[in-house]
Amino acid sequence: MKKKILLFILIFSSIIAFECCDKINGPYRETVSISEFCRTGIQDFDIHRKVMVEDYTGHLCGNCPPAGIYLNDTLKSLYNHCLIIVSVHADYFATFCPNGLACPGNQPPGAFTTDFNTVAGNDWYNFFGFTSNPKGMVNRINYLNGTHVKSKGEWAGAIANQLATKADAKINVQNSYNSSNRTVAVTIKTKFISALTGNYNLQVLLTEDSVVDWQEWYPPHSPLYVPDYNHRHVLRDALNSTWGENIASGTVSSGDSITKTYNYVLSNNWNADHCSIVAFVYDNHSKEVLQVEEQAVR
Amino acid sequence: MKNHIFFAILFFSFTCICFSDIVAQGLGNSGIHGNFQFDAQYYVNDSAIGTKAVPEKLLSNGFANFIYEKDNFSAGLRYESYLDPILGFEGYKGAGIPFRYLTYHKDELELTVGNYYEQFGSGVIFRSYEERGLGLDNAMEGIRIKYNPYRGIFFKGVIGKQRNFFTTGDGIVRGADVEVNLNETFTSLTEKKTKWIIGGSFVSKYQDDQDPIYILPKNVGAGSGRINIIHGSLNAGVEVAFKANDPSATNQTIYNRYIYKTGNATLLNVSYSKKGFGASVGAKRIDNMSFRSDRTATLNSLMINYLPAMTKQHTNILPAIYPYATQPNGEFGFQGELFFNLKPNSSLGGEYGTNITLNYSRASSIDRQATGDDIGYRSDYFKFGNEIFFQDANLEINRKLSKQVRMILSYVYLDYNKDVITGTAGFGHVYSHIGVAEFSWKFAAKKEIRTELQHLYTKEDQQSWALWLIEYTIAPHWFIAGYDEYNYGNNINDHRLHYYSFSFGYSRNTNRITLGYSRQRAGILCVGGVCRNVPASNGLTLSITSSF
Repeated sequence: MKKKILLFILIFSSIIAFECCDKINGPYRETVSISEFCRTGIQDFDIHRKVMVEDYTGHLCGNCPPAGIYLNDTLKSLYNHCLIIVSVHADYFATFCPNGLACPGNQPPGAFTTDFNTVAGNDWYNFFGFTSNPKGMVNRINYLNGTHVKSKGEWAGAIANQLATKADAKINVQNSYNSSNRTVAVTIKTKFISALTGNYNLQVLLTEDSVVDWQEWYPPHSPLYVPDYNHRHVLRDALNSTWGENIASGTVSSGDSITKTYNYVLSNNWNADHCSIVAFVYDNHSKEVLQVEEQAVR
Repeated sequence: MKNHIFFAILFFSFTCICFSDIVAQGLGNSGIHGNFQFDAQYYVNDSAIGTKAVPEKLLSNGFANFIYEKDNFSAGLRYESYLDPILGFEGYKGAGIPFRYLTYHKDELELTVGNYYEQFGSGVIFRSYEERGLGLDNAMEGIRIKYNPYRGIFFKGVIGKQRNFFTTGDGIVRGADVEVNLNETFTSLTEKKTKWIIGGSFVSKYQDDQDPIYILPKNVGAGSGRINIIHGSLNAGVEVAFKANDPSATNQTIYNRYIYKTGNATLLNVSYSKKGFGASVGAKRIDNMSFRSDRTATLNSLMINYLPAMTKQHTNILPAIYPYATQPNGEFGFQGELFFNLKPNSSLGGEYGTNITLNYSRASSIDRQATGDDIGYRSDYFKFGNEIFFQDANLEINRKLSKQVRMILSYVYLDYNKDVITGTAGFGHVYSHIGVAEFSWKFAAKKEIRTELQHLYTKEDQQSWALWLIEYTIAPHWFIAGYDEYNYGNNINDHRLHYYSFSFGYSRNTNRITLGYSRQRAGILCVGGVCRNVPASNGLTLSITSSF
């Protein structure tokens, strides 16, 4: 009996002793080092991977500004040229006043009347099963195991993991903007640099950065309704529909390249100087983004 | 070709069903049992209540448990299907067998490999459980050992990963618990009237640090100690827990800063009952006790511990509009309840007796003083915060009026801090007064009509509601029910909507089929202080349950 109890105490104590915990007493911050390519954007002999983070947000989502700031300030500063951000305003928190479901009712006159919604954004929101904001996807990874919708705390690690993998494709985006008719002519050349098997789509988006408009921002931030919030990298439209277009099927050889061209007329409400074309290639089965590129409209 | 595949699958399915029947019958006496549930909803668009478009039209959730037991051995599995999941359960998209286990019990040792649910003490540092209505399932996948080395001494050890929808979380959870029933262990205490049970637990999680900005603890430990004293009708228990530095998405500041403060919790419960009278008091203090196996997880995902809500869980529809959700980052809670049974044939009790329940609960913030560094804040243990999260004062009178008629009258006052509880802002407190009158009339041996009249009065949020429910039961097989929930007081005319539901069902032995139609308002469903958002919906529903 005594032996049993002693054995039991020994096991229990061992579990506590071995498990225990890591006490961090400071410093609390990492000394970060990022690649020369991410820092400068200068391409060397290697083709480097870039990473796209889609931030699903809404101007009536009071919890979204911290996530947006984290992404656009903290993570963008860190990963610089390697990180491409698309802010997707969709669903409940992107409804607009005065009749939108999320419209608080006590907002200042004229606030939240802008419609940031896009067809593609709402389609993605529903397809990928978003139920709350702020949430995002990093290169749309983990769709097949259902963990593709990630909270902001998961973004940094997922970006780092993606950047540690080799690129399978290179995308070159060239824009030519005609200010007289507000038309941008887009030429996108995609070159596969790995032999692959599958179906691959090219998706082309138009984003507008630094859109100053209303945003709800929960306390302790004040005011609750911010009239001049800087909305970053807002998705404005998908140039080639919600799911893009197929550019390769079956066996793809390293060196295969496809060129696509598009003409797109910018809305008069958008600032062409802040607009960019974002192009990415993704695996149509896993939805995972192989490569992404961004180029200013002018 | 597609047709061939379809018929092949169909044939295979029927073959499997028939084979299962035979197997089940053949092994019927040797310990196979289980249950089945299937819920489906056909959705229609209803722009007035803001329903989501459902391209599939029909969504369904289903599962079946199969458990085999023989002598010291048991094995089980649960097949789950979410094709596609009913609105509000989106994370579960897919089908598979996420829960399966083998258990072997020999003498003082019990071993389980695979999936299992487990709880240490009150669950304040470890509880692995399933709450299907919330879409919550944090089942462990790994190994569990239970060891009973001596009478009254119970040891549990667990290691594994937690279920996260159809996968498991990144973190590894390890833990041990010991509970000693002193009166069983020590013969000198066996005959004593006072029973003592003491226990202690330790749980640790491991998760790699991939954060490029912060240095994060990979191993985070939590410990707790508890004591339960039972003396006649008096039962008192207290559990105290501590958690090491655990920066996570839950306790992150709004400025995206992780905090490194330690956490702690204290739970206290005292109850007393005798014939015709019962009383209970509970109190808790929680400070930074969100504990998840993935520090980036949010909502109901990958919670290692369970922090109970010390509030009454209302079952009537209107009082449940404003349920309380435990605030793991900091909360002081209190609840008291008195129960009286007024004797039959007394002046107050009436001919058949009357039960009266009085309940009060309150949750508020804890003291917080910002430190301005990465610790985050300090908190004086004995000091309350200034903000009330929730208050509930309610009275229920349950009285049998005649041999056929029973009446339950309830009054509920709620003070609901919508900003804190729902994580929003700009709404403030919702103060509501709710009355419920329920009558059931058993007018024949097998026939009963039950009706509820409910009213919620408030000037805030969506303003006042009224509800009428009626249910007709023909025992033991049939029932038909319907209710209309009317937001008649809404300040916005277009939002003065009826939310109605009709259903009828048939049950026989352990099988039950229910068919219904409902227009469901968006809201929050909470069980034990854990909540999920329920989206608005409109459509036909089908539910089938069975057990064997």
